[in-house]
Amino acid sequence: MSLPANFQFSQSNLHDYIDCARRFELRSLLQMQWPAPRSEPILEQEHHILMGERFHHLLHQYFIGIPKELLAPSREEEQLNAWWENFNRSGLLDSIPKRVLPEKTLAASWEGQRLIAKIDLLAFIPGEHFVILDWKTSINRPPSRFLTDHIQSRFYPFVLVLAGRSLNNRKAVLPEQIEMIYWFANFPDQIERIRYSQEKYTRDEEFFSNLMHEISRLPAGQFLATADERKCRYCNFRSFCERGETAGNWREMEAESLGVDDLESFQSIQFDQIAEITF
Amino acid sequence: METPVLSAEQNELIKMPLSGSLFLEGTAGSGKTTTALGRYLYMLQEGVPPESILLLAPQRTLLQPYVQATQWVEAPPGSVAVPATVGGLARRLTALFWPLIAAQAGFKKPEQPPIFLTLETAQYYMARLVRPLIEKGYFNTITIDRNRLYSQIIDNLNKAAGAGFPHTQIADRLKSAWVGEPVQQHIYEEAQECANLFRTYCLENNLLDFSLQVEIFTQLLWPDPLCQRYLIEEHRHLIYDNIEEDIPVFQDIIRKWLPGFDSAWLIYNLGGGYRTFLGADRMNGYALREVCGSRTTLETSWIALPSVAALRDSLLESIVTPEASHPNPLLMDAVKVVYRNFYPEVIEAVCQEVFSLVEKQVSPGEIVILAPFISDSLRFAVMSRLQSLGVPVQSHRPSRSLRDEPAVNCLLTLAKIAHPDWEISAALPEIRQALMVCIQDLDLVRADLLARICFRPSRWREGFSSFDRIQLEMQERIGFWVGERFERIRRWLEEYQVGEQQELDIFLSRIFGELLSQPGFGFHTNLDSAAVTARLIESVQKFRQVVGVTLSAESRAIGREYIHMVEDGVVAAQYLQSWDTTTSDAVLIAPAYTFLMSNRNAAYQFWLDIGSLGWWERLYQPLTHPVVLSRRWPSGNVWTDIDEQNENMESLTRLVSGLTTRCSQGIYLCTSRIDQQGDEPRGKLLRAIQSILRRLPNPTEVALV
Ligand code: SF4
Repeated sequence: MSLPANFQFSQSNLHDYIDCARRFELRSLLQMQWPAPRSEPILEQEHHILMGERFHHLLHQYFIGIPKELLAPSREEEQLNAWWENFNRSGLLDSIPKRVLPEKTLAASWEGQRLIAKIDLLAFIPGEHFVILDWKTSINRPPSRFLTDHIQSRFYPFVLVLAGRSLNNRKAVLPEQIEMIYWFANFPDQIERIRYSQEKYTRDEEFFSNLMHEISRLPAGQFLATADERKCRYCNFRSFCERGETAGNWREMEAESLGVDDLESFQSIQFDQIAEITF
Repeated sequence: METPVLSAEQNELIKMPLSGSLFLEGTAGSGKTTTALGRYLYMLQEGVPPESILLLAPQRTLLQPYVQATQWVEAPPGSVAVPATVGGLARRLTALFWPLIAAQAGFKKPEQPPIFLTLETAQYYMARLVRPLIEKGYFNTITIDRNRLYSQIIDNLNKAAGAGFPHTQIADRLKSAWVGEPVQQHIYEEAQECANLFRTYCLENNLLDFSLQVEIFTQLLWPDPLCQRYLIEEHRHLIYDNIEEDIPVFQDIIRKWLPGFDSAWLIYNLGGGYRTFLGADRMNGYALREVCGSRTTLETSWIALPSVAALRDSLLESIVTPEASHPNPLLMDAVKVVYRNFYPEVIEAVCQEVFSLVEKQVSPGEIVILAPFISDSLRFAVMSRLQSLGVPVQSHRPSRSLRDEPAVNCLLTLAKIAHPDWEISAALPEIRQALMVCIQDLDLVRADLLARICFRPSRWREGFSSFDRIQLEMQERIGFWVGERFERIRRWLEEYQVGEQQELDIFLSRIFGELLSQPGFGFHTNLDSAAVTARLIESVQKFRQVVGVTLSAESRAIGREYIHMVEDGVVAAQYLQSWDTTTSDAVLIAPAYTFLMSNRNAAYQFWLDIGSLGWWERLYQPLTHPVVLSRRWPSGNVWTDIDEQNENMESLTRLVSGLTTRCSQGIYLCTSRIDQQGDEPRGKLLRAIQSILRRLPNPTEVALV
């Protein structure tokens, strides 16, 4: 199947493909809407996601220069407050370059495909050091091994190598200059730092090349359902694929993933809906 | 990306130095957007960081080509430009800089985050505030659907914000232009009171409707040094398309911002200005021409044949001076007439003609069927006939209410049964319809039997009774397979009621996933129903997230309130997917203005009901006025019949010009001897067309279908 025009590979759709090719096809290629729950209890999960979004927003505000004293969340928002205080106490900022770009999207075309990475914070010294920071508000702190192997830890640095010239005085960003940091709002001292390297880059080049070729050559209908039916417990296409009726528990899902931060936003924004009022 | 063929002039423009400002004007189809996209790519190739290029348009449909451009595989590596509407930009900045401006804007809880209202939630709050006043006798001298009343009050606020005058002046402006019955003056005062109430309520509760977002952006954010520095540092280059369709306060900001850009292109569609009734100000947009360093007009039309251009020119002349027009005979090659005695015959002839075009290898996506308004019955008649002929068709009526969707009715009926404490009864026809939708292959007769036997309207609180309790003979008649599925529905609802009550969107998501989309049920393979369900759930979810706190404080069930809102028609549920009509290769049926704003052309256009007054008159809007509440209306002037006549004339010529410049091959003019109301059509457009046809040298040679 040829990919749709303007298709972009992201860490989340590649992660889908690795989890289940069928899900990738339904969600990213056919863009099928299937509004069944992914996991339960929905409200609890939704609250957690909304808080995660608020926290990301708060840090975005902080990094564009809004004074700290204006940002403290109200006392009723206990969880957000705790995360904010954890962030302020963590000393994280002392250990990263001072030049920062919050909510940075990088894209590059590579082997005829478009790759896109949305980075929470990019801190860098041109020509020296590039740090990709990712805020995690998950309730679990995944083991280091899991984080190192996760596709996000490979995809983001890889895209930065491909797309970073404009941040590096038009010179290529070298893999050795890149570091990925996961900072956990619930575990502020358990920072995960992952160094990138030429060796990893060479390995990833082959990996992503094979993966994207495989995907772009698969004919429609050949995107097979995963053999691991546990994955279906946390997938909204469960009924479409005839893989069960009820959704699994989101806390268990979290324990097996990077957290729910990566699910699409609950607040898809209707920017100028009002301006289309009377047609 | 397909590489478009560009003229030498376009290439020259694209390669202009990356500094200074350009005002680029031209009619639809002259290649302005194509040139701007070429410019965007050129800037990238020249090493301009994409995120420093601000891509703006007044409406999301108009941004589509730019969104696609940001995804081009040819784009150099680096960061990514984010195309936006100025409204979208205003909202994003308000959210980001909220701590700086909340108190200053007058919000009572500045330490808490802002709550952005959608059209639905704004209407809901307006309804809450205005309903008690209506019950006291407000607006009792006018007859108008309540939702239109609410939306016109919201519209007034938007128009005031868009034109840049205080919302407290709405009534004064409307009153000073009014010359009719004095009672109308009173109506305007009541509308003002409602607008004031709404604004106060928003400020007390951190709610931001569109008008407040506009005011905050223009009055507080833009002047704020931190915000302005952020904007100017982030964006070094500007491409702003269709500036004529934007509101004047946004155009004003661009005027001030212009010197801050390294380069800026302002693109103006001559003949545009279709969003006037939404507060767009093309004249104010055109005034930006004077502040640009250079100006260029693209003259060539890349779309129309000479015959279509002849039709356009003749029509425009005939609209203004029907008795003195000199139609160009060339137009005969571009026009066909569909004329029948009765309207349904017209529809049949149109569908047959569409079918024969498709048979002649015209791509369905190159055909549009247009009317001033698309009623449900018209939409249904055309769509079902074309579908029966095997022609792919899509409709485009964004204000279509959710309650018109069978899948939505089915889901909300089940929600009522699952929540008897909401005290919203379900009627037998609803139950029958719901069963037909949710049990796959269930026909009307069986659904009716099942509904009558297993549901007692007088005891609706008890829900469904068991299929197993029906006499065997009747079970057989209905079908055991139906019974088995029905029992699953009944048991699911029963089990749900035993557990803790869930929010409506969660109930809907669960019943969809656990039951209705399972094999044997109506949503299992029905992707359209799944998409409609997704929209419904999204709408309920937003409603809950915005108004949930208010309702919980009053111990009112959110789901119950939502269903009332749907049944009252407050929910309009407009979503991007219903606007995005460019992707599918299907015949489009749409209101004419909507087509104009959907950023596409067509080889063939069918203009339905050309005798309708709808092509000429504006909507009846007793609480608002698009011109009087605009900047161009001199305060204190009286709006007369002549003004009305001139405005209608202006709108019709603009509409006809817009449609014809978006047509490459031909236009079918369709009318009936007797219209849908049983009258002889006599609209202005029809008269102009008749006048042309009469004056052609060989009128009998005009092609009839
Ligand atoms: S339900 Fe299972 S098989 Fe189907 S898409 Fe989801 S993960 Fe894949």
